[in-house]
Amino acid sequence: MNYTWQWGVIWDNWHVFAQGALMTLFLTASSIGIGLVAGLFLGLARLSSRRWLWVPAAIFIEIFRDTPILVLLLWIFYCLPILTGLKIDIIESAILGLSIHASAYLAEVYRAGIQSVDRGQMESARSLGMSFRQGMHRIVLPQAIRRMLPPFLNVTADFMKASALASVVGVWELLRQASNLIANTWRPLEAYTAVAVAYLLLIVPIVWLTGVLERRFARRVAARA
Amino acid sequence: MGAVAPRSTAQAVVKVEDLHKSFGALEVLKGIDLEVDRGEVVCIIGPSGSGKSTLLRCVNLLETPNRGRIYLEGQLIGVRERPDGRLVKATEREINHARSEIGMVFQHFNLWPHKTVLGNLIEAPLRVRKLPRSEAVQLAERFLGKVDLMDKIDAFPPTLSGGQQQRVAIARALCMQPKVMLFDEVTSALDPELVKEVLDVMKQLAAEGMTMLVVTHEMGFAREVASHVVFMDGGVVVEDARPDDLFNKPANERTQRFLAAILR
Repeated sequence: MNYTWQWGVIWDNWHVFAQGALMTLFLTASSIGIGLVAGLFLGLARLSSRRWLWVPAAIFIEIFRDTPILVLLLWIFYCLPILTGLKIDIIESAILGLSIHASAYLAEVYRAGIQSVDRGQMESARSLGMSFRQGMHRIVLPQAIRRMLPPFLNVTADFMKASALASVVGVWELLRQASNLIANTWRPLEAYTAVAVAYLLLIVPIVWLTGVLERRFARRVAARA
Repeated sequence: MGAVAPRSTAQAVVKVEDLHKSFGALEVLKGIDLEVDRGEVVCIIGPSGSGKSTLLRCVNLLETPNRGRIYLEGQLIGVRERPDGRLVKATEREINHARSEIGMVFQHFNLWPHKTVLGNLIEAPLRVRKLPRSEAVQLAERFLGKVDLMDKIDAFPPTLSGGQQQRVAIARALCMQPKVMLFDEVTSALDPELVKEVLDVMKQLAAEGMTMLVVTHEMGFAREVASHVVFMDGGVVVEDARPDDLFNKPANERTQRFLAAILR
């Protein structure tokens, strides 16, 4: 192979990557943020013994966990406005799609986390007169969330990668910024390589932090045994 | 609370009438009648699967009975009686309130590992009784002293021995100043050498006049402390007698067989 790399193109256009990275971070943070709140309620509903609560929650979770994010994004972008008459811009539709998917995913993380807490924890809270809400809020969730931190971070890393799909509906995140740069400069090798490196720089710290937390948790469990 | 006229005698702290409980097709309690008067210690013994723990869990409203009534100091709890005599489930608030008056100690302690001993003790007084913090801490110190664990007030439960954890669990229930304490096989999960310290605390409570309903396999404790002993088998009360009578001259043949098997 006889290719002459011209990294100058990348240095000269660093702000393009910075803008793209900011949008990628924004998409990830907002969809995970919404997903953390909506997922908690979805997960609790899924765990409920009341049929009218857990059946719809289970259906929602399965539908959106089992739909490819790309299909969901395209559907929301092209079909939702026609069907509902809602006017939503591309960023909103991308966040909506990613958030719905994140909620369904995180609901399952919450469910697993809550179920991993021994039933006796809630029972002793209830036996002292605490309400279900108090028991969940004060006793079960604090223990569950510590265990859920590593999976939360995993999902965050996954969604940072998945946010690249938003380029398809035209959001100016990292990948689309790079594609546009290529159209202007005709340097696809440099630009795509730079994009890959940029994603790595964003995601590696999260993966590293996940590892640290997992090891710390494993140590704490070992210390108690 | 519902405006239900007291039905049982004045000093009955807990009264259970015709209690039935099924899990699916399996009928675990087949009509239990039981009374615990003020200051009494009632021990429930019997083979596993006889429904002892389920009975205790029904009294604490952790299980919903299919039929029957439970009174706490003459007040119907867990359900409300409608004018036509039908029973309907009480509200969440009423159930929570009733539970707050009934202390329960579990086989596996069920202390909260993310809170210190003090945190475990003051949580319900703060959140349920809405006591000011200083008062809750005072209560906690008093009852932690009673179970002789003042030096562990800032420890986290997983760092304590099983016996210490169970004593903390007893103190935690006492902090709500309950009208009755329920003990569900509280020494069964303990190493043999740790059983005594827990039983000693329970004996002390009994001596101070605490009303107690105790499911136990500790026959020595039942013989020494119980006001009367209830032998359950197959979801019914087979025999209910003073400990001397029940252990020395059991009237029922099933009781005799059970005692023969465990006392050897």
